Amino acid sequence: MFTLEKYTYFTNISGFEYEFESFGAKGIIKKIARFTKILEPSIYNFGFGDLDEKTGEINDTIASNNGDQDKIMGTLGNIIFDFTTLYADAQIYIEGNEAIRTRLYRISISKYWVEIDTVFEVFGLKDDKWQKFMKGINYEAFLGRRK
Amino acid sequence: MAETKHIETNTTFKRLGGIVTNEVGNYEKHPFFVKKVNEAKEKIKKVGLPKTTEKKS
Repeated sequence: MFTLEKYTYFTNISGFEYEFESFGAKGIIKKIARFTKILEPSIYNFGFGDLDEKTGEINDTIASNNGDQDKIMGTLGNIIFDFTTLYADAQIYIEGNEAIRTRLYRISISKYWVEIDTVFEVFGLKDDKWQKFMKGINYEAFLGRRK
Repeated sequence: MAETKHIETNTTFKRLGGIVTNEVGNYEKHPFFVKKVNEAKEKIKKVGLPKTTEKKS
């Protein structure tokens, strides 16, 4: 995942916000990601969506269908890797806006698990209980940290 | 002639895999992220954290 093709992404000095542009069948779509601390000392929520530059709204309820899903996942993987390099104790909570998006995250983690597992410890939330991530299980959310 | 100190107002540099620029805004108060954070807080309040993440070894 971290070695996948990725988009050039931009961040600010804090490293909490990230921006990049997706280029595909639907044109150029600006993507925004943000890490927000939700619990001391180091639990962060990872939020991600499409920015409508006309309205300023960010949306994660629509499927972009821009034909570049792997490249987007590669970019997000690199962003998370960078953030957890800057903030080594950070634990990242990720939940899709709906089951289908969370499933997409699960499929991506599974697809690149060999690579992810060498760097991250990942937990999945199932029936309101955390367990070590295993392939093939539909989780409600994920929590990961650097090993 | 006095030395003139040049102050960069739009510094851009590479850090890890990304490019740092002050053109990337702060979205902390954006309603989208506020909503996501509140939902995440509620969920973690309900289910807690994995035992082994409560204290990193």
